[in-house]
Amino acid sequence: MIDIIGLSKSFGDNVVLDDVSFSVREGGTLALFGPSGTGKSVLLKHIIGLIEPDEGDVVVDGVSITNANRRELNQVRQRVGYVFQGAALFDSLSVGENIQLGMDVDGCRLKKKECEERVAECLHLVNLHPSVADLYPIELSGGMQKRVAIARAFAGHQRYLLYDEPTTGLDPENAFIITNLIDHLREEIGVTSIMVTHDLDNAFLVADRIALLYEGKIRFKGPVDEFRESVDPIVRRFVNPSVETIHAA
Amino acid sequence: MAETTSQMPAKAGALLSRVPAAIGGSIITILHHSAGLTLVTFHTVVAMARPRRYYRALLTQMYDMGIGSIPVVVLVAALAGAVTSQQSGYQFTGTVPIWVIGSVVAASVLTELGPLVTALVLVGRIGARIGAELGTMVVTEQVDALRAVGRDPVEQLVVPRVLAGTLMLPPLVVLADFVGIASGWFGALLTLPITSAEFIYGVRTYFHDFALWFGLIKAAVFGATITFIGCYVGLRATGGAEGVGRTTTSVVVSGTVAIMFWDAVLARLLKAFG
Repeated sequence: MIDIIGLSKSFGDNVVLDDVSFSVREGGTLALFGPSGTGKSVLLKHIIGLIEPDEGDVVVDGVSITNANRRELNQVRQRVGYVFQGAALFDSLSVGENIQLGMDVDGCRLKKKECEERVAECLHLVNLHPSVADLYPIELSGGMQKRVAIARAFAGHQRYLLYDEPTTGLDPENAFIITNLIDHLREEIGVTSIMVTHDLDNAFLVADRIALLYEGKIRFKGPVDEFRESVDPIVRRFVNPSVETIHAA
Repeated sequence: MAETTSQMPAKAGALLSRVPAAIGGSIITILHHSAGLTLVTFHTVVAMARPRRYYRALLTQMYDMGIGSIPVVVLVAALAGAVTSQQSGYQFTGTVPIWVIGSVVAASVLTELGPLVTALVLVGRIGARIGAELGTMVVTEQVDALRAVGRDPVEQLVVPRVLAGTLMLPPLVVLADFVGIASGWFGALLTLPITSAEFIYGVRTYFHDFALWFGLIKAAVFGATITFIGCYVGLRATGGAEGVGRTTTSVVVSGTVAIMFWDAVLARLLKAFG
């Protein structure tokens, strides 16, 4: 269970998060929407302690991220996989070595053969051939890099996956593949996910709950159907952007 | 014209009023970086205690910094040695015994040219590369990705580079010393009225063990400085490609200044002990 409790964060005079609170239930997928620059990625980074809040806390499986020491934080990070917006694969490492990094803090503690089998298994789950393990990130397409990043995020049997705009910059076909993969991981492995996205159609396919971050606050949180039927004009602008923007004008 | 003249004191006043703020800002920046450097230094030293986690990266960095730098080090040292022997030859001919050229080349190469020129070349080759590499890793979120998988960026990125720089500069300087003296010798034989016996006599007259140790200690300090500045500045990169470009420039400028500073300080310190 991930609980975000009264989280506030400012950069200089710019208030990015203002008393944000919500929870993500076990096994669920929450899609986090919001206009560009509203702090969705900042919020996600708070969950694994990459950014410290000004106020509030994030609690993952009962561990307070704000008060956790280095060891506790690393233990939480082993349970939470993070898929970065630009994949953030390590250029100097092969795909296989990138995936091994996600297995545990000390690298792959398994025997070499078991380690390679796990890499192949992860690649299979993201629909990539095992031979991709020997390639370097520069040799992969954007969609393949995203899939490797997802494989790295769950390689250590993480219970939670955080996706930062997983379909941004991809063509519709690759975006659909990634969305299906996220749904598949939830069904097959039962991971709990938070997905920051602008891609409404694909998010509706995988998310069971939606949160809308607007001007630093949570404007909406609830099931997908409630989000679709909401009469809040700000929510409407996201659900049906073209019509609502014309009406607003 | 009268208006312009009357506006001048106001403009001067406005400019003067900015001086305290500029001085204060500079002091805050210096304190900020001093604190940052102290913390990263402490963190680096502590992280060195876990070699199992970084030894592979250390070997890769040692190979890249050591073997990879040999061609440029050899070339620059050869040119520096040849130029030193010729310049000193032209100035000394007819005024001091010709064998002194051997002493001048040995003294210049072992204590200054070997370590200093090697370090300055490697500020560009190693320091700039580290700054650009780590800066790119920061702006593409690779450093955040390291932390996200529970790795310590200082342990994984800074320690292997700083250790490799500290360990590889001394052998490179020994090579530069050898090449510099040899090229000075050949340069002198080709252009000056000196024999090999006279040159070698000059070298042996000057040479003492401490000169070599002096150069090696300087090399280790320079190696640590170049790599540490590359890592420190690189890990503070902001923005995109432009930010990485600024980082690289900053590494080269601050690395060069730091090397010159250490050269001056170490010359006093080591000569006091020597």
